[in-house]
Amino acid sequence: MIGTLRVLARAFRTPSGVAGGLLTSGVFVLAITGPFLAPMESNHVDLSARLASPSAKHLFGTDELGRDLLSRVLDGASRTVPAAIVVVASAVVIGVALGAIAGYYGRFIDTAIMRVTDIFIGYPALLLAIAIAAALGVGMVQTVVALAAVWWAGYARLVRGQTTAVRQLLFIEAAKVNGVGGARILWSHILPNIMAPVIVKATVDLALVVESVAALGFIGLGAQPPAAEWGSMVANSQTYALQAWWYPLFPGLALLIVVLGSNLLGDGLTQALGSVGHVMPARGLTQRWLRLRRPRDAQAA
Amino acid sequence: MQRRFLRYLAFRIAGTLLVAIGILVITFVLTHVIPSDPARIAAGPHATAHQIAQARQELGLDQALPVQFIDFLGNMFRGDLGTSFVTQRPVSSDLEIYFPATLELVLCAMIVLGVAGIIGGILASLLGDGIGSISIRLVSLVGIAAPVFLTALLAQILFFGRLGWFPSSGRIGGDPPHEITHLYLVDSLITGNWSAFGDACFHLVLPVAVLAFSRVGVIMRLVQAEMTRVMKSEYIEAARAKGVVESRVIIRHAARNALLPTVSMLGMQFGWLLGGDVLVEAVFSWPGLGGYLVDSVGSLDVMPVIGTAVLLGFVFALVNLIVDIAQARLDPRIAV
Repeated sequence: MIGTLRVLARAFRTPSGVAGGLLTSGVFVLAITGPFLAPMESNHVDLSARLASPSAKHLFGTDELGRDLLSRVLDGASRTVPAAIVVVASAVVIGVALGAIAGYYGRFIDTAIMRVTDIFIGYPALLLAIAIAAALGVGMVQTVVALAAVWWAGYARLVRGQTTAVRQLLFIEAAKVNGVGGARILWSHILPNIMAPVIVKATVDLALVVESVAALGFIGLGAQPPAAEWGSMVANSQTYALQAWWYPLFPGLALLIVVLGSNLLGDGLTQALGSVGHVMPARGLTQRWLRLRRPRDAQAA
Repeated sequence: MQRRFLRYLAFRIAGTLLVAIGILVITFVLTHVIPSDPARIAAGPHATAHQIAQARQELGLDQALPVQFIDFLGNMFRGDLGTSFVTQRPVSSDLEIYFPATLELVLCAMIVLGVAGIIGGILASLLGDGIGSISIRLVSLVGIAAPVFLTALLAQILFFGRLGWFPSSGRIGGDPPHEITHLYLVDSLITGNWSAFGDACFHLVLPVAVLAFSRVGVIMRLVQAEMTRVMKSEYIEAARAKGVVESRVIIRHAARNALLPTVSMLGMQFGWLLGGDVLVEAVFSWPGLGGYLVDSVGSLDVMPVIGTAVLLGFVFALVNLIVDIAQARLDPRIAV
C-alpha cells in the first residue's frame, strides 16, 4: 500500500497531476452537491421560455421544453459520475480477481481465463457494450451492467502480468515456506504490491467510462427521458442545434471537463509511476516500475 | 525465417478463430440466455401473444439450450442473424445494404488518421521539445477528451450552419454513381463520373475529419516519441557522417524504423473508429450501420442492434489479423 501512496504523492507534484486532481475532485463535489446547487428543479417545464439563450435567469439557457440547462447539467453529473464509478469499481474487482488467480496459479487456469479475456479485449468495447445493453433493455442500471461486463478484461490482463512478475520474488517464496495458503498470499502479499498500476488505469478508465455512458445515452440505450443525462441531452439537442448552440454545448462541455480532468490525473499518475513517454503500454511501464523497486533482484537476474 | 513466419501466421489465425468463436458464444448468450423471454425480443415489443408464440416455434426456443446453440451456430453460418421487425427484412440483408457506406467512411477516416498522425508526429519531433511538442499534447488531449458525438455536432453547426462550406448529412447530394462495389468513391472513379466523385468527397469531409480527429493525437504522440528515439541512434549519425542528405536520412532511415509500432497502433485505433463511427453516422445521418443501429435502438428492435455489433466485431478481428500479419512481414523480429 505504501507504494501506492508514494505514487499518489509523487503524482501531485506534476503539473498535470495537480490540474487533473483539482478538476476531478471539483467534478466529484459537483456530482454530490449538484442537485442542491441547481437553481431550479431539473424537470421544471416552462413552455414560455423554450430554447431561451443564456441569460442571468438561465445561465446555460433552456432546452426545447424551457427546462433550465444549468440545473439539468448538474443533475446529469449526479447521475453519470456515480454510474461511471460503479462501472470502474466493479470492473476492477472482477478483473483483479480473475487476473490475480490466472497469474498466481498459472497452467490451464491461466490459459482458460486469459483466452476469455482475449475475446473481450479483441472486441471494440463500445460495440460490445451496445450489444449487451440492447439485450438487457434500456435504462441506466442496464448501461452500468453492460459497461462493467466489458471493462473488466483490461484489468485482468494487467493484473495477470503483474502477478506473474511478483509471484517469483523472494518474499513470496518465504511466505510459501512458512506455510501461508494461496488465498492469503494473493490477498495480503501480492495484491498490495500490484495495486498502483491498477489505480492508474482506473483513473484513466474513469474518463473512458464517462464517455461511454454518455455514448450509450446518446444512442438512446441509457437513462430514459425525462431524466437528465449528458449524452441523451446532446442527442435531443440535434434537432435544435442550428438555432440553439448552447443546448449541445453545455452538456458537452461538462463531459469534456470530466474526461479532461481524469485524463490529466491519469497522466500525472503515469509519470509518477516512472514513465518517460506519454503512451502507457501497461507492461513496459509497470515492469520498469517493479525494477525500480527491487534493484537487488534485478542484479541477481 | 519463412517457416517461422508460417508458424506465426498459423498462431495468429488460430487466435482470430478463437475470438470469432467467442463472439458467437457471446451473441448466443445475449440473444438466448439473458433475455427472460427471447421470443419477445425476436418478435418486438408490440407483438401479439400469437406472434410471440409463432416466433418461439420458428426459432426453436422451446428446445433445450444446447439444441438451441447448435441451431444458432447453423443459422450464423448461413448468415441468418434474425429478422428486424421494423423493416420486416432479414437483418443480414439490411446489413448488406448499410455496410458499404460504413466501410467507405471508416476506411477514409483510417487513411486520414494514418497520414495526418504520421506527418504531424514527424513534424513535431523535428520541431523538438518546444511549441511542437506542446501543440501535439493539446491536439491530442482535446481530440481524445471531446466526446466524438459532440465534435460531430459542433462541426455540423460551424461548417454547415454558420459557414455553409460542407453538406450536413447524407452520402451524396445528386444521383449516386452506377453501383458496382457500392463504395461511391470507387464506383464514381471506375465509371469516370467526376461530378459524383466530387459530390461524394464533399459529403465525406466532415464525418471523416471528426472521426480522425478523435484519435489523431494518439498516433501523433507515438510517432513523435518513436522518431525522437530513433533520431538519436547511432546509425542515423552514421548515415549523416556518410554525407546522406538530411531529408533522405529522415524519410529512408529514421521514419521507416519509427513507423513500425505505428502500424499496430493504427490497427488498434480501428476498433475505436468502429465504435465512434456509430455515433458520427447518427449525427450526420450517414446511411450506414451506425444510423441503422441507432434507429433500431429507437424502435426497440434488438436483433439489428446485436447483428450490427457482431458484424463490426468480426470486421475488427479480421483487421487486427491483417495488421499483425503485415507487421510481421515488415519486421521479421516479430515472427519469432
